[in-house]
Amino acid sequence: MSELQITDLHKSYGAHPVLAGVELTVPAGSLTAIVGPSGSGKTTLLRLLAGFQRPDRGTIAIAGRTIDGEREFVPAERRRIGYVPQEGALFPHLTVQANVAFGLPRARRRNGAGDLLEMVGLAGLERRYPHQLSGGQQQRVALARALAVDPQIVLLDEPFASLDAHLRASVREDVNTILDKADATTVLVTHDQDEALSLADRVAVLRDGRIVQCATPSDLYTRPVDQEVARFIGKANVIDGVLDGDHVQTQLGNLPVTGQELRSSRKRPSSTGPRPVSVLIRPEQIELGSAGEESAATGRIVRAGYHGHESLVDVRLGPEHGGQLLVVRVPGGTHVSPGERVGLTVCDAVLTWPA
Amino acid sequence: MARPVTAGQAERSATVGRMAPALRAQAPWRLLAISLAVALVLVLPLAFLLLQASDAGAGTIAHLIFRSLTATLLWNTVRLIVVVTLLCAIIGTVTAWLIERTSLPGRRFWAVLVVVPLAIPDFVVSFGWASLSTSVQGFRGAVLVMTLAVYPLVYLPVAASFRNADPGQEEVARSLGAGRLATFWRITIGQARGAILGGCLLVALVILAEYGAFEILGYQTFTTEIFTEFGISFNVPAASALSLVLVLLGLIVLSGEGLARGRGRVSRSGPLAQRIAERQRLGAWTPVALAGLGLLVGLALGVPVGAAVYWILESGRGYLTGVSLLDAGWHTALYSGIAAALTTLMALPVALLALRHSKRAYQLLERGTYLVLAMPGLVIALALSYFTERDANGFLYQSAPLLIIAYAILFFPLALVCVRASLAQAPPDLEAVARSLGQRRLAVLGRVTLPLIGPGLAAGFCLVFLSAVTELTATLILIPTGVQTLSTQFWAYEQNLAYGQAAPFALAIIVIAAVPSYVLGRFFDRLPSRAAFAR
Repeated sequence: MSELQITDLHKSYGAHPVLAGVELTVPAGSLTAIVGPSGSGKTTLLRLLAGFQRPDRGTIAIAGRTIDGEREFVPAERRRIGYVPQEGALFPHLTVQANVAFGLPRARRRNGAGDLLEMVGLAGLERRYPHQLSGGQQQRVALARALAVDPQIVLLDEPFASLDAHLRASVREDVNTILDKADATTVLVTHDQDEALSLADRVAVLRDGRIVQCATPSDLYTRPVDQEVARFIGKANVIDGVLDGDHVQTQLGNLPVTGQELRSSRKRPSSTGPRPVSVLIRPEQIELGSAGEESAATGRIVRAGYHGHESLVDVRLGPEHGGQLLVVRVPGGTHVSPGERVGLTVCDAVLTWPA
Repeated sequence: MARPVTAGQAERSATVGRMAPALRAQAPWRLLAISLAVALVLVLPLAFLLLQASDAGAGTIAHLIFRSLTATLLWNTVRLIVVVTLLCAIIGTVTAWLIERTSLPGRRFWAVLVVVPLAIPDFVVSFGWASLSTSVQGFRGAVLVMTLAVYPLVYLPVAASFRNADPGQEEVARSLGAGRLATFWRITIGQARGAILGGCLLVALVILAEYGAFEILGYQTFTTEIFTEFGISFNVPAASALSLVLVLLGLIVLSGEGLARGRGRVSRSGPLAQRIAERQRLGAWTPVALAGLGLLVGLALGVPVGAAVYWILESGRGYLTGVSLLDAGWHTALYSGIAAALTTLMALPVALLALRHSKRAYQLLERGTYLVLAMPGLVIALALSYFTERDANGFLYQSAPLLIIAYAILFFPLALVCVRASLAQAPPDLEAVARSLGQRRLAVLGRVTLPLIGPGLAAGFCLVFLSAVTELTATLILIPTGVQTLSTQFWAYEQNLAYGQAAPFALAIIVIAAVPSYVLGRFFDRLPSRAAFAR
């Protein structure tokens, strides 16, 4: 398996820049998810990697060998990149067996797909045509077809977008297992941050044509580089505060701060006394209690969204605390009713960005 | 900037978005050049017609247009179009509804039978009726014959739209308190409105271009008058003037197409789950519906075929025309076959350009080729014939290639519809995947693209072949000297009132035309109607 390295990749359509200097390294054998709002250039990036389009500038290298650059260009059919487009794009005129064996040399086409179909759990369906398969089955055939040619890199373009919710979870599980078994270096494009967090080893956030952050799922969640990333990856409350040493003073009390090492390593102008910051508080970092006890702030419940295992509760802080609307995650069994007065306590260290 | 990305490429990719063309590297200028050449050929007849008219002089032409004859012809043509189109709309829609949406017994059987009349040339239907009864003539005769000959043009698109319409909409309408009848009127017909209008436009265009049927019935329209002026009196200015009016009428009819498409935007909500609509129970009405369909098929199919068989039996075995039948059949098949292949090939680059490189100008070019529909075969043939004789020193005059070119121009839009529909079945994503699986461009073409669009190309071939076999007017004018096709030989006998000798040729045409019609029916049945009719 091979490492994929993207350097300073640019691509614009007319006057409209889509990719503006993408830098990304995908370690060999890892699954890296690229997330971003729709229109952020995710699919364009995949198409450049696959070799269907040429970048305006920049290089793409696999295992140290440049496949697209100033002087080099390896055409799509010689890149050994397995491409699984949205909806699978199975060849409608070919059987499952012929689809999977499509990229094999002629001699192996007749029976070269058996192992792979076994691996994706579709043995016995060789003679079916794509329209006779369910959405999840089609997706797995598309994956088997891409893996059949022993690719260096596998590209998945929103592979689960067309599946319904409960099918999506199980197919996602299957695909993950298959990719693990195949030990393939994989790039997955998705707009579903939940999918990215649960599936990938590393998650890269693409925004305005750039990778703004690439980290492990937990790093990305706990230490997003800015508010926008924080809001894109999961739910986020961002409130104002004043940073003083390793504590930040907020409407929710004086809170310990994490991520100091992150900040100091960047050699920011070192703390010259208190300064204003934005504070990230994830919904599960807040605990609800009865009002007025020992909680730092009080507020009133506006709305509670029940999700079975948990509830997401909107709480408006009291006027004495600035009146901001916060979202709080509580266990599903917790009894909350709109209008109720509650006390709020932050139970964890928080992340701050310079305001 | 080392990478040569042209402005054109960038712009194209921008509009195409994620469907970026996989065959991009095949320089689009080459495709564009071929497409432009095709468009140029299609424009020839119109250019020749204008040349021909300008030879006569504007004053003469104006004088010839503004006279009472034109008014008479206009009245004859327009009232026929209005009445026949209306009748076809009713018959076609009701038939489609009965077959696609009700519990009518033997639906598959009827679905085949009601389309077969399309394979019978209008002039054969006309011959069948007129040879049996002298009372079938004039306006009433023309209404009867044309309605029976062309109602399938409405039936086919409407049936397809019924088949693909979302049954959920009817259910919602019922749940909102609309009764059966109100639901039918407001939803069912509403869904099919675009298809109905589209079919009606085709009917109107066919009537504008028809010659043989009206000649037999003694009904005077623009085409019969032009044919007389040009073919018998050699009055070129008069023929040119009337041709101009005829083409203008065609353009007016064609301009209704935008209307039909704008109204006909049928969308399904949600994924394309193929839900079958609950069929309406006919109950006590079943015998009435069966009798109606039986009558329709009897009149449209039974009478023409029956008449041909009757005249063969009547004439006994006195005139055995075996050799000339074979000879005419061979030439018919030869000319039609070459024309069908040529037309399909011509349509391919134009469709490719419009579908794979979505740029406004390319799509306009493609849509522009549909304007050929406004040019009746008679006008195309006369323009080509006049030009080659007068201005090209007789080059190609009365030669087989000229006849084939005329067919190719005349039937180009038919081939384009089929080729386009099949190309839409082969999304560029599939080619992209094939390439990423290590296949070179040529292999992709052979293993993915051609197998996918093959049926559509075959359908295009069949449609043009069928149309050329049943073509009479242009063939009469352009047929090489000393050669006869089935239709011209039929016409020669028919005009001499030698019905017994004409009849075998009529039957031969029907038999040859029936094969490609069957293939076509299968093709359009399998195609999602969105692709087939979303021009």
